[in-house]
Amino acid sequence: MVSREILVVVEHRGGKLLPVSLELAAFGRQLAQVAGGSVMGVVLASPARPRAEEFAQSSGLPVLALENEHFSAYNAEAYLHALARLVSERQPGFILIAHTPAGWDFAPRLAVAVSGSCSTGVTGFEAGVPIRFHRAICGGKISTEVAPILDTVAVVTLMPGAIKPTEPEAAGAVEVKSVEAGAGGTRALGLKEAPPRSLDLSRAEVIVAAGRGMGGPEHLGLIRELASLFDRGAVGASRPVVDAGWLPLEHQVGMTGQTVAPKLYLACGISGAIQHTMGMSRADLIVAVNTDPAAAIFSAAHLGIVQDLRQFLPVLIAKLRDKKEKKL
Amino acid sequence: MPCPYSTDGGTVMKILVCVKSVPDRQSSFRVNAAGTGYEERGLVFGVNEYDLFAMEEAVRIRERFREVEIAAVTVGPPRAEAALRKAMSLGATDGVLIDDSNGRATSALAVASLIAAWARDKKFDLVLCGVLSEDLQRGQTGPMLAQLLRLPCATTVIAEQIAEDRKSITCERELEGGMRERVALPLPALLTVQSGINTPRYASLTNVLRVKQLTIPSIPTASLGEIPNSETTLRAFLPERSAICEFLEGDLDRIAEQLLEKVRARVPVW
Repeated sequence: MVSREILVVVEHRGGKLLPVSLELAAFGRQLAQVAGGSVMGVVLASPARPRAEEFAQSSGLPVLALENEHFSAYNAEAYLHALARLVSERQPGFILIAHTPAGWDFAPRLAVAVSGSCSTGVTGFEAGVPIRFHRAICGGKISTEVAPILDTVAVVTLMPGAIKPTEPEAAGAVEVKSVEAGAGGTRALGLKEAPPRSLDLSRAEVIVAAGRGMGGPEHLGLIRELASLFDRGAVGASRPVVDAGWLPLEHQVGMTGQTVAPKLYLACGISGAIQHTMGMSRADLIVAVNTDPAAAIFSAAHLGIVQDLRQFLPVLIAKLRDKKEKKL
Repeated sequence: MPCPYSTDGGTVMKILVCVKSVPDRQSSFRVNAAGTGYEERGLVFGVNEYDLFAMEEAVRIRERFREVEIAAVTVGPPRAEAALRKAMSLGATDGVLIDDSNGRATSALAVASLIAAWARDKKFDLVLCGVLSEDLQRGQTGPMLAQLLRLPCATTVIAEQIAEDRKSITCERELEGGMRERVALPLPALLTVQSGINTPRYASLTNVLRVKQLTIPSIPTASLGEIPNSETTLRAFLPERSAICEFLEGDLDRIAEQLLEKVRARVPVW
């Protein structure tokens, strides 16, 4: 079998590369070691050269930069148009895209447009024929290995944080090309910054985070009380808790919330979906309390407790208070 | 790209909501006998939560524009009919089951192709899907359906507004860290809806009872052409317990004591 090229679509926003782009580069290199083929970065931007050079330098990969006025911001139609044409010209074996709000927006459509396979949210792969991609299902309770079954290009989106970026040896070469890319009627209207937060979780030393397993907003007093026992304690939350209106957005930890790295992260009734754990996996010590022993959160935790929080937290709070008073 | 899929110019706005029947996320999952997915027997199924946000958004659009018809469609075995009844109790006028009893539509491409084949001549002005399914979490069906129907598409939509002339829709897409991206699409279009876009209402008891009586039309997949799968699951397994996670056991008092000792020893935070 002839080895086919591996294309890596570089993600950038507001003139900056997103860290996941370097993870994609490392993923592409790992894949090339088993599947063969060369790896090339693809930058869609306007102007394209600065981002392309930055990526070529930080990844060490050669870069093809596609330039079009529609690439000054992310535009799904324009991306699809240009990438579909690139795929038909170069016939790559794999096209690697970040599993981010932009990546998962165009990746499945690109797969359809080029009659390719599509695997989303992968976290790694298993060498062999065919190559099998790892991905979690059922909120992380089951792991799977999936494989593309079409002989055309495989479109794959990589979960941010799943692969460690590697140090480049030397900067790759950059080629800039002006391309056609119609946007149809789709118009990018710009970014809207997150509302200002009165709570900066990144400064907290201890985060006590509430998940749906707390049972209801009436039980959040326990979370607040425990957090208040630490000098720099704060209340965090999983997405479902914020969606349900139990706590405001500024408490949310995870992909669509804040990324935190406290000394202690206490996950209370949080199932442990990867979108949440990627926002807190850098905490020094992660403690998870959940009634479900199969909850995915225990795969991210250092210490696990299978208990009902409404019974356990009062005991923990009393004990901690006691220790603090006695200066133990 | 010319859009072969256009509205009929009538005054009625037609919305399609795609729903999926999924197991309760709190379930204990087991791997199926074939080792390629989760075992469905013994699980309690309901509507994918993200699809309920999509359904609620459709109802809100109807409240604003009045002349709006909402249809719900699902691909699945006969049990998926319950998901349609739920959508109908929440306000969908029609529900259609694309009956995949033999489970051949395993990839998102297959599901999207079946819905596309059925929807192609229905002239929907707006198609709404949940951003992903709670069980397989692929997030592919919506955007693939958009591409098959040649519709413009926006995913992870957290706010939307249809223009008064009903010719375009402005969306806010949710990005990382609470940031949003605004995008305008011409109608017809497809959106995948993120949780938190609205607060879904509960169905009234009257509606729940009413839709119980209805017969839901079912379409065999064979009548919708080929089922093109593009991805296959070769292996499913329970993840290994993290080697780093130490479980604390005993009575509540003992666990709390151990926990505080271990925390204090590793990160002195009080």
